[in-house]
Amino acid sequence: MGVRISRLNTEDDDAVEQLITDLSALVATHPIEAEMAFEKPLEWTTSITPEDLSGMTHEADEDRVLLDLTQDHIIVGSLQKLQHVLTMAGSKKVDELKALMKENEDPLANILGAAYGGGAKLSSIHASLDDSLKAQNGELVTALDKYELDGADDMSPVTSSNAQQQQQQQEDDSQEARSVKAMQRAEAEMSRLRNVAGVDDDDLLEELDWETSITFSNGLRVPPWKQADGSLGHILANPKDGDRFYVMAHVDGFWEIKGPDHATGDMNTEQVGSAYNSLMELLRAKSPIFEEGVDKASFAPKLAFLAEEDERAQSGRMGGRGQDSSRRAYRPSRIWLTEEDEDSVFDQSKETLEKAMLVPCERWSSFGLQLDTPTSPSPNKSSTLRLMRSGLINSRRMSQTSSAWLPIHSLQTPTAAEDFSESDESDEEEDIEERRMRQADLPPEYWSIQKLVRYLSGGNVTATVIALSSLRDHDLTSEIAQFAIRDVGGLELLINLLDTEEDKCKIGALQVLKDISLHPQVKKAIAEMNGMRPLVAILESPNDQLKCLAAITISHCANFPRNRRMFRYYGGITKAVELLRIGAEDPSKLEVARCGALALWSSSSSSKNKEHILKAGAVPLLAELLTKDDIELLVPVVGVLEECATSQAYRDLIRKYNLTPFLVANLSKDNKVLQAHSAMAIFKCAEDPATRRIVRECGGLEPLVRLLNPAADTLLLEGVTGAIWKTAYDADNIAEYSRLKAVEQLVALLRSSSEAVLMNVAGALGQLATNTDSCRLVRTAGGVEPLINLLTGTNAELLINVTKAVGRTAQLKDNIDAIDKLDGVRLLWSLLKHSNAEVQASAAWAICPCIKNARDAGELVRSFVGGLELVVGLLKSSNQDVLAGVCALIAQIAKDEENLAVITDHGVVTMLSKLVRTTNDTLREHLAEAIANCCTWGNNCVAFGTEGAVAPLARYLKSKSSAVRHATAHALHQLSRDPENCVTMHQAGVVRPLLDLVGATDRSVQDAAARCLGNIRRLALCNEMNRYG
Amino acid sequence: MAARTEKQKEMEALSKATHFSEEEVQRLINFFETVASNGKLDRNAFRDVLHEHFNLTEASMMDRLFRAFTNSAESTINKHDWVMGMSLLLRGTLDEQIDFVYRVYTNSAEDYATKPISRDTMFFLLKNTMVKIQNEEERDEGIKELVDLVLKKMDVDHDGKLSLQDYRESVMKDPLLLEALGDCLPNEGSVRTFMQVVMNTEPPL
Repeated sequence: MGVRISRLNTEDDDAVEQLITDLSALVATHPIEAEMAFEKPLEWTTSITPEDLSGMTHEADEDRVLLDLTQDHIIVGSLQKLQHVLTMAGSKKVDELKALMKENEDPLANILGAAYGGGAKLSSIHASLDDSLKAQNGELVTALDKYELDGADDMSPVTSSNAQQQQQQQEDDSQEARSVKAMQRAEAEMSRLRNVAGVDDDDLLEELDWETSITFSNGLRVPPWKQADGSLGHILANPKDGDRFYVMAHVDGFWEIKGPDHATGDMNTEQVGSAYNSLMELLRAKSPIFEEGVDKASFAPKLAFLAEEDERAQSGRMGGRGQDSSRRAYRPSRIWLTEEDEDSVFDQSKETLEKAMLVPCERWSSFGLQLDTPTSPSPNKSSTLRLMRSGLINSRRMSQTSSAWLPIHSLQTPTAAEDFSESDESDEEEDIEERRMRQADLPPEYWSIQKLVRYLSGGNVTATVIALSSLRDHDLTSEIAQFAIRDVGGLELLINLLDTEEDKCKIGALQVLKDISLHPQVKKAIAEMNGMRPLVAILESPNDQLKCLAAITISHCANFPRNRRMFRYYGGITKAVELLRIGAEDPSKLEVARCGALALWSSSSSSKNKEHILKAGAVPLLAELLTKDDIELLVPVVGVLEECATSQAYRDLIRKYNLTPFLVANLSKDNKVLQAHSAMAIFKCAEDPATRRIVRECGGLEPLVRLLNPAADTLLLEGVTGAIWKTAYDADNIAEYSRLKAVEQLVALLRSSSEAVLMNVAGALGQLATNTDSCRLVRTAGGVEPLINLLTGTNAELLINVTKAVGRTAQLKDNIDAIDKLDGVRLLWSLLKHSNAEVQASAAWAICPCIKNARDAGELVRSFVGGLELVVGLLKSSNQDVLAGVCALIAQIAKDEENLAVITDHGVVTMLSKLVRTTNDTLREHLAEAIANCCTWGNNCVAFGTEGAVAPLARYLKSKSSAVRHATAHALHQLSRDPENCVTMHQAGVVRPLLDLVGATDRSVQDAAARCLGNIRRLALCNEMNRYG
Repeated sequence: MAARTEKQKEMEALSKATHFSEEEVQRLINFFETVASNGKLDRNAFRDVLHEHFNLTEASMMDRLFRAFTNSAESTINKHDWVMGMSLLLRGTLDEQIDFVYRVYTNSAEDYATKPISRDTMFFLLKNTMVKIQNEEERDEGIKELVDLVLKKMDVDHDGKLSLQDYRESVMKDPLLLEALGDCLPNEGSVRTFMQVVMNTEPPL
């Protein structure tokens, strides 16, 4: 530029403009030199006005004038000011520069001093000057000199040293130019080939990508010192039929390299094998599947380019065979079209291909990979972190290859086994599907949002704040917004902003993140980018607004399981609990507590988190917050309690802090969500008997019944009905509920469409029906029919409750008819075949009262084809409850003689005898009952004896349960009709306990015991008589 | 004795007019005297203070701050201006800071309330915001668009210029926009550190 300045042809506009461009480049790259004051300022007559300079018409640096504008005369004292003036002049700049040149004969002399004038080459002059001047102007000269060679006219005498310098520089420049060109070609090839890489069946490669997503300003992907010898970048390739390998992309071609060194983490670039001209050729050589796929390239737009690409290479190799023939050779599957057709069709495919290439491949978004945007470090953000973070996007693959670019944070990436295994949590991390619109359908909002996001990477703090503020004018909760932001790498930028020092940036970024994190794909992407770490860190910020925003964002993200784990890993739980403390201690900061509660609520769906929340001492704080009147605050607080109340430890604490009254009070507050969650919390807490009582004592039953409105929200109904169900295990509550006429309301809810609600309602009815009045009410309120209808369902939990309800209802004789008319007993009987053992048991228990109270029980039972065989078969079950229920059932069946004969044929005696050794009291009770009733038929009495059932029964008499003892008395009475049994019994020592039982309160027991003893005695007498005459 | 009382009166007056206590005012003046020469702070020294303690590096912004501190076209800051200015800078309420920052942006003195900020001024102020884009044309494009964005967001009366009312209304709605045209206030961290330094400063000998 030095020479060009002196010899500038002012009539040549292009040259002038070129000079202006070079001048700005110089000022940008050498800011310090550009600010150095000229020896003598440049002056000229100008048409620039003070407005152009925004009023800054005078600037001076000590005693040297840098800029001065008066009426129409301007003085400029440094290159920077000159450039500034020219920029502000806008369209007038060319004229200004011309004027400058006209009025200043030798500008170089002005700039550097008289010694440099004269129009010779700067460097030669400079070399010949003495040292003081050299030192002073050295840098400026170098700067000016740099642009010298760009000039068209370089007519100065070339000395030998200059020639060398020139050549060297030419070489450097052209080397760089070559690299850049080669890189562009390589990038193009990569992006096309990536279309066929992936996990689909029709893909030709498993994986293909650059090793790093960091690109430098010239587009290359290796650091400058490596660029010098022609490297462009490293590629990672994983073919379908082989191991992963690494490729060096170079100006001279592509070849395989050894790959990352696991010890040091550096990339070992030793060449392996031969070099190829294009990446495609290398891949063909390495992977037969790839080669096959390429050869088969059919009409699919995705692959058409491969054939095209390959053809180019082929035709090159074949030394320019006619293009037509080469095309034909590689399209065997195509119908032989005329040349014209072929052409147009080929063009079509190219078009669709190009269109396809423009749209980012859909699968990219589900991988969470970002488009490659040059990410050069910003001065305001922690630059190393950003470099590393962009490397982190590839870290899933890179985690196995310890590349030199691995960030510190990924080394900290948690692998601690205990904290990380969530065996009790089902993996919800399936590939979240996305629907995408075609490019043509994208609304303008998409593009304007993307434009704004670009400012986040290109601008400084101020630009960032403006962009973030403008982003919020869009509806960020819409799907389009989050697509837009993610597609252009905005999510990564936003998360990076969370690490800056500037509070403004963090606040702005969080305001955006909070809204877009409502989308599942964003939640997943945030997890992949390790977004929890900065979010958790911000929870400790002194700024309250930041704390709140971070907590809310966390609460959105924590729906995704991995985020919940990361939240826990980074110590987020303790920090969130701290937020609760702030709110609890300072009433003016309730908002902070609310946000903390939101975060905890969302993350508490993971059971490990529940434990940590407990350990962090959250419950006393939640208790404190429950006392506040603020409804917005109460909702998440109750939410946390509700979520955690599934754990016994929590329930104990809730009782300890006496929180139940508050939960009950919330039932009457005017907020549906609050009511729903409070009801759910009570539902869960009522597992404990003590709580059931407390709920009644603080008047909780009435509001619960009041909320039983069929039109209410399902969650609310689920909670309320569940609460009623569990509290109805307490006898006093049952009475109260009857008084409150809960049954009618519950029956109305039997038409609900939600299974959860139905389950709870059935459970509640089952409990309430133990009260006779309520039992009758079930029928009169029309509850029988819907209940029976539900017996045909498939949900096991629901069936258990319904059968229980039906069974309880059947306790009342009047109800039996209703049940029977609707075929209830048959349905119950068929449930004995159900696969779930609990259902079987429940059905068996339910059938008992039906038969007991039925008018013609025997006939009823006989009407079930194969029913008796089924029942006896169930005696083989291993489930104690089933066995007990079946025994009870058999006890009822055996009251009818005919049926008893049938089951005896089925071998009921043997089966029952096998069970006798049990220690389970429920089973014993009904087993004894069954045996007692079975003895009335034929030989069964004796048979039981031979099967060895008698002696163990003796032990039953020692049972703590009086019901067992009573039933055993009956059984023994029946068994004692056989003399052999008497002997056995006597030897087993039944006499003493039986004597006690004679004094029992139950008349029939007295009777049974007495008769049994009588029989034994009679036998003894007979024996004696035989012996003695 | 009389001089002392006068000084005390001065402290009192300053303390009342600012958000500082009398002790803090005294310390601030101590600090002032360590950096000023002859009881006056000139442009360069002021810029040094801004740079060293508040990390403000933009030359044009620092000049404007200087102008705002002196409240006129004077070339030095006296201790009165200093204390008043610091009060706005370090502890100004949102309202006060709106006025102050507006003065800085318009680089004006008493008449700031009537001067609107034009597109060109905004362009100038935002000139250095697109640091990462090398290409000058792209950069200018970017800055022009940025100016458009700012106007879209903040020009309430849609007259193509930003008046004080426009500015105030927009900042009230979104406080992040306070420094939308460039950083001229120190961030929280440096405010805290600076106050610590100040409170530890003894008067020069």
